Amino acid sequence: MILHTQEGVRYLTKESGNKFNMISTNQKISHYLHAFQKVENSLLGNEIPFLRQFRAQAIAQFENLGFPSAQDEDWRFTNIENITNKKFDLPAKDETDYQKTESHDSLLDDCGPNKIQLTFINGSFKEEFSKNIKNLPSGLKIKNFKSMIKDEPETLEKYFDSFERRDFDGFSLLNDAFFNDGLFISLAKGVVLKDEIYLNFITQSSHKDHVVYPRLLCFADRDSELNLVELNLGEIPLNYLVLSASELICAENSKINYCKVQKESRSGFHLAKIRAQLQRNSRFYSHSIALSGSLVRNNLNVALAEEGAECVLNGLYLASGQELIDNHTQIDHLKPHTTSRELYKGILNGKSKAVFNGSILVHANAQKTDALQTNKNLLLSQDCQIHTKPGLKIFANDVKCKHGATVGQMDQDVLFYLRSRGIPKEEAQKLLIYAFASEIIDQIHIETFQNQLTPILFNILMGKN
Amino acid sequence: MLQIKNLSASVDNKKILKDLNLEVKAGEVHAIMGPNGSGKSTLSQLLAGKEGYTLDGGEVLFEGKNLLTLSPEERASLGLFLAFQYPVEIPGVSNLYFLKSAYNALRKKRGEEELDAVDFMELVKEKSKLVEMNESFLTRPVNEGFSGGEKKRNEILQMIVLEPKLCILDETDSGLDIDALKVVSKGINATRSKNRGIILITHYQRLLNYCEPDFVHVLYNGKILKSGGKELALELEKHGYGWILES
Repeated sequence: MILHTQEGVRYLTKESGNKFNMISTNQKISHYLHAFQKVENSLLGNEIPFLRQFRAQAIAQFENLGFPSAQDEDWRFTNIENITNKKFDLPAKDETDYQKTESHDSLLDDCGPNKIQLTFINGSFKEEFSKNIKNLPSGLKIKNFKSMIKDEPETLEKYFDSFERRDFDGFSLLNDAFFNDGLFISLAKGVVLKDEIYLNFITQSSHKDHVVYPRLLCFADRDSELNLVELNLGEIPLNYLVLSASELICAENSKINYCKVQKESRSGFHLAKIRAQLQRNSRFYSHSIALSGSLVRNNLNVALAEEGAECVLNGLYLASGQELIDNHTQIDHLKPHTTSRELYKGILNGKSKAVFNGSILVHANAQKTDALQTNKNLLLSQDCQIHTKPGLKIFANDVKCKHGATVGQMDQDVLFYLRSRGIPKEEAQKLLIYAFASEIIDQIHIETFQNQLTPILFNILMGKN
Repeated sequence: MLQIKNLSASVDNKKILKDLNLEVKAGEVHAIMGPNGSGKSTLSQLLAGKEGYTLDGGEVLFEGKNLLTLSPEERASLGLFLAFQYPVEIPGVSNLYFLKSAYNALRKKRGEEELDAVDFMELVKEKSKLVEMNESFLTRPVNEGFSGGEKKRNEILQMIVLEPKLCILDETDSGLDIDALKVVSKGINATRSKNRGIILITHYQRLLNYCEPDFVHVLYNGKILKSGGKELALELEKHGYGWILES
C-alpha cells in the first residue's frame, strides 16, 4: 500500500498543489488505462463489433473524464480518495474458486432454497454454485453474457445499453470497459413469475485490492411480471472494489420488482449504477437495502419514458463505524400521466456518514405527473453525518409533486413509554430502530424474501447498534 | 405499598410539587382530583420515572425501596404501572409484539420463564375480551390510528396483561364517551384486588361512579389540600374546588 502512494507523496513535497493534483489524477487513471491495454483483446465479446466499440468508447471517455472529484456537485460529500489512491486489479483466474464461508450462509442459504439462484463470483457466472437453473419456467430466459454472445449476439445487442446515455462517471465507465461477464434475463410476453429469482454477486479473494465488474441486463416483455432479489455479498477483510452496472427494461404493462441488497465487508467498496427504462403503463419497484460497506454509492436512474409508467423507489441504509452510504437517484418524468413514489430511510450510528441526493425531473410535456419523494433519517450518535438533498425540477405546469426530508433522533417519549412497561432501555432502542426500518421492509412485495430479511435485518441492527 | 414523603420537585426551575405526602396500601383505591396545573400529571410521570424532573426534596418508597433512584424499567419490574394520559403511537411495532416484549421482559426480570408466542396469544385473547378489543387491535401498530377511546382501552389491556402491584391511571377517563368509560371501568374494577393498589387521577366524578375509591385527595398547587372518603368527590362535583381553597 505504501508503494502505491509513494510517488504521490514525492510529488506533493516537490510540486505546487495544483500540479500535484493534476499529476496525481493522471497516475490514478493511468493504472486503469494500462490495465485495459493489457486485457483488451481477451475481454468478453472482443470479436463482436458493437461490444468492441462500446468498450473503446468507454475507456476513451474515462481517459477524458477521470474519476469524480470533490468539485463535482454529485460527489461533494463523498470522498473517494480511499478508492482512487489505490490501484485495483482484476482478480487472477484462479481467484474465482468460491470458498463458502459460514457467515455467507445466513443471507444466501436462508433465501429461497427452492428458488432459482444464479451465483456470480467476482463478476463471473458460476453454474456450480447456482441452484434450480435447469428446467426454467417457460418464457424465462436466463443466460450469462458468454452464452449470449455464443448463441444469440443479436439479442444481446438489441437490449444492451439501449438507453439514452446520461450520467456516466469514471466508475461506471470502468465497468463499461472492463466487464467480462454478465447476466441476461428476459421474460416473454404475458408471463407472470410469482417466484423471485435470486442473483448472488459474491466477492471473495485472498489478495487485496481486487476490483470486480458485475453486470446485469434484464428485459420484461409486455404484460409480464418479474421479481428479482440481488444479493451483493463480500466478507473478506481486505480492500476490494465492486463496480456494478444494471440495466432493466420494462415493456408495456409489465412489472419488475427489483430488490438489491448490499452487504459488503467493512473494507469493501461498492459503486453501482442502475438504470431502468419504463414503457407505457409499466411498473418498476426498486428496493435498495444497503446494510454495510466501507463506501457504498448507488446511482439509480429511472426513465418514465411513456404514458402511465409508474415507479416506486424505496431505500434503506444502515451505516455505522466509519461507513459511508451514498444514494443518488434520478427520476425522469418524460411523458404525461407518469407516477413516482420514493422513500429512502437511513439509520446512522458511530462516525458514519450518509448522503441522499434525490432528483425528480419533470420534463416539459410530462403533464399530470404525480411525484412524491421523502427521505427520513434516524441519527443515533453525535458524530454521524447526513447530507440530504431532495430535489424537484419541474418544466411542466400541471403536475402534483411533493418532496421532503427529515432528520431526527429517537423519540424520547416513545422510549419512555416502552421502558415504563418494563422493556429495558437497550431493547427498547432496538425495537424503535427496527420499527423505523420496517416501513421499508414491509413494502418489499416479495413475501418469502421479506420473511427472510426481517430477522437478518434485526440481527444486523442488534449487532451494529 | 407506596409512601410519598414530603416530595418536592420542579421542572425548569418551576416548583411543581411542594411537600407532597401520600400513602397507598395494598387493596386501596385512591382518587387524586384537582384543577388543571395542580401537578397531577407531574406526580404520575415522576413516579413512573420520566426524565426531566428535578427532585428538590423528600422521598418515595415503593415496597420499602427508594423508587426515585430506579430506572423506569426497574420500577415496572417491581410492579409499578402508569396508564398514560396521552399514550404514544409507535408505528412499525405491532401491539401484540409490544405486549409480548413487555410481558416477557417483566417475567425475565423476575426470573420466570418467558412465554412463547402461542401461549401468549391465548393469554392476550382472553384478556382483550374484558376491554372489548377485537383481535385486529393486536396486529395493528401500537396506538397508531387508534381513537382516543381505543388508546385508553389499550392502556387498560396492558395493565390487565402485565398485572402490576400498583396502578396509576392518569386521566384515563378524559375524552371517553359513556360506553368507553364503562368498558374502561370494568377493566379497572377487574384489576382491583386486596394485593393491589390503585391511584386514579381524574378531573371528574363520573369515573368514580363506576370505580368507587376508598380515598379521595384534592391536589392543588403541588400539595394535597384535603383528603376524605368517596363523598368528597361528590362535593367537588357539586361545588367545584373553590370552597376548599377558601376553607
